[in-house]
Amino acid sequence: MSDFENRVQDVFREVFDRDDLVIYNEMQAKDVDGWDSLTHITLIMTIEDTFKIKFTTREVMGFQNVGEMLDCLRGKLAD
Amino acid sequence: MSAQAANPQAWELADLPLHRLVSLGRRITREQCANSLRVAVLGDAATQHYCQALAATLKLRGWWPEVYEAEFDMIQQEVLNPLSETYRSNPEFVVLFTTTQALWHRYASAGDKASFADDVCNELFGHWDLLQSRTSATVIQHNFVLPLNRPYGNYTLLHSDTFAASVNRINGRILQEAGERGVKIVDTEFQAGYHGKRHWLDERLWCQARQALSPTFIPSMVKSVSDAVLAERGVGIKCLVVDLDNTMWGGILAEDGRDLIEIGQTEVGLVFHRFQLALLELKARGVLLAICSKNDLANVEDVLDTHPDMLLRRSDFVACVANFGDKVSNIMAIREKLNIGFDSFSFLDDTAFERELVRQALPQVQVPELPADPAGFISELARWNLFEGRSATPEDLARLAYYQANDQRETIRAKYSGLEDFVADLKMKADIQPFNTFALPRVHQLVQRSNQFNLTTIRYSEEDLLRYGTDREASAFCIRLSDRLGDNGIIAAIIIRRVGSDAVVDTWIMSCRVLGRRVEELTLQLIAERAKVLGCSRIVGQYVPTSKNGLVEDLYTRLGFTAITGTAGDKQLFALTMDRYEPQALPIEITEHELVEQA
Repeated sequence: MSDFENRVQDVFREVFDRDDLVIYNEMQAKDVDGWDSLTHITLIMTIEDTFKIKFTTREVMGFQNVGEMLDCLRGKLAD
Repeated sequence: MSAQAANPQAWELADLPLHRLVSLGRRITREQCANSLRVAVLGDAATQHYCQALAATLKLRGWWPEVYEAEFDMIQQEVLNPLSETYRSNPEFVVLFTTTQALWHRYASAGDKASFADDVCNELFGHWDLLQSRTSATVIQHNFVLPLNRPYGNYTLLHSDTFAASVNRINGRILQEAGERGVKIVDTEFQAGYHGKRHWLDERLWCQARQALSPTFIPSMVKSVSDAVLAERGVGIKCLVVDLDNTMWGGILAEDGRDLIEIGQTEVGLVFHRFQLALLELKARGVLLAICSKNDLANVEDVLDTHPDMLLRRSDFVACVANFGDKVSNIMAIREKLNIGFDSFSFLDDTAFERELVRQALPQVQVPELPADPAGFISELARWNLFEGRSATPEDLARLAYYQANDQRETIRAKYSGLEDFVADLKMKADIQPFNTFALPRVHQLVQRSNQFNLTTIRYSEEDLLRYGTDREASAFCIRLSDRLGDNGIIAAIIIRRVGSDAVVDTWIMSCRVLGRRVEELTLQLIAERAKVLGCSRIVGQYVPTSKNGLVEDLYTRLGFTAITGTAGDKQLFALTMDRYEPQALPIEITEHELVEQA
């Protein structure tokens, strides 16, 4: 896992309050206990705060899994 | 540091990330809460984050909440229907979380824009009436964030039929009505402005999830809701205890002297001037101010009474404790005098050591983390919201007058017993340095300015001090002290000279800030080591009394020296033979520069 992925994983661990959570590209909300629409917003906002970026509404609504979110985030950080 | 603590204090809840707040709240059990209360939350925006955060905040403040969360956007139905869950939950508090975003949609579809504000107000007042007649609950009403809609630019508020002007009018009217009807207003508009409205009113969140504000700000907002709720239960700060040096003025009175402390005229002085203005505002609303300072009382009273630039005067304080004892004992003395609970106290001090000590010994006392730059004090105070609630009652003002008339001297009765353990746990590190070019300016400052912990008060010049650094018949060193809470800088300077077989302590100066941390014993150990290198068999200490150094009158006897009788003049001499000296185990790790070899 890259440094970048580790940082994202740390955010997941904090938001879901689980120290052993491991993220992977195909991971979806249904794979994680407590990932509802509410924690989803906290997750997105915490990633935004952590990486000092903003997702657009369209981007947020379009994420199908963790991998797509990571790709989108990578794209923003590369800009 | 403390923001990571498992038991955060009320003021720091506003700064926790939402998920950490909720997670900490989840760990609190019913048994840990001394009290409970029932709250109903009705909102026209999403309330899940809100309710989770409010519950966590109340729990972490020791109040077990039973929260009834109404369905989304059901305020009207819940209030109008006498059989609704709101009423069945028998609430002690009903929170109406009404939002600007929802209001805008109503405004857009309203026929008569000119009467929109009054229509909304009348509806809200009707809700308050119903809630107050059907329950004994206290109604908590959020006001509205002034929107970013500005169709006329700077003239927007001039047009009373714009949405912004309507919100402005609603806020004004509900504030006035609330005062008359005993409804509590939560100032959402202030919260949004404080954190930045552009960030608060995140359109994406409203459009995606009917979130009226970013989760980032929810802890801060619900903290202020919990303040409004708990103020009704008598929770609140009645007395603000303040430190003086670098909290009330710039600089250290005992070292810089009254003419060099910064207050009023300089840039830094203006910062403290403005902070004192803010404290006077608090005093005017009935908050009791008290002083707890490591200083000589006579010097403090001199500044309070006669310094031309001080705004706060002795009569502004209900207690003034200035001594060199530990601050826990001193706050206990202030508490005894005022006879109010520790949970009615907040303590402001720029020194991490003092904050941590008080926090650990008296966890009920709110001890906020002051920012390094005193220019930040006022804006931090605004966010912590320590002083929620009503204006000063005649009773408050009478109490103030009573304490002012009362004798200012406090008697320290109870002594705090945990200081030793606290100090042992500080992970102190002493870095022993010669008088080199890096240390010299600070050593010179200590030598020139220190009056209190100064055994001989010899004012050496920089050249003199440099000379001691290379004198083979002498040993000169200074101590830089750091601990897990931060770096205290150079806090002591010592010069010893060999006279025959005696090592004479020519100069021993220490900053009063580090009294009580066993630095005196460390210094003696260092002196003994150097005396040995110099080939001496006895250490001779000198004490030259001045009007200001009574503090160290008995330093040498406390450290095991014997007074040498029959000495001439006002100089008192004390001796300790080397074979009688036994080093003690000290909680301080020592690192040395090439000093011993040099001597």
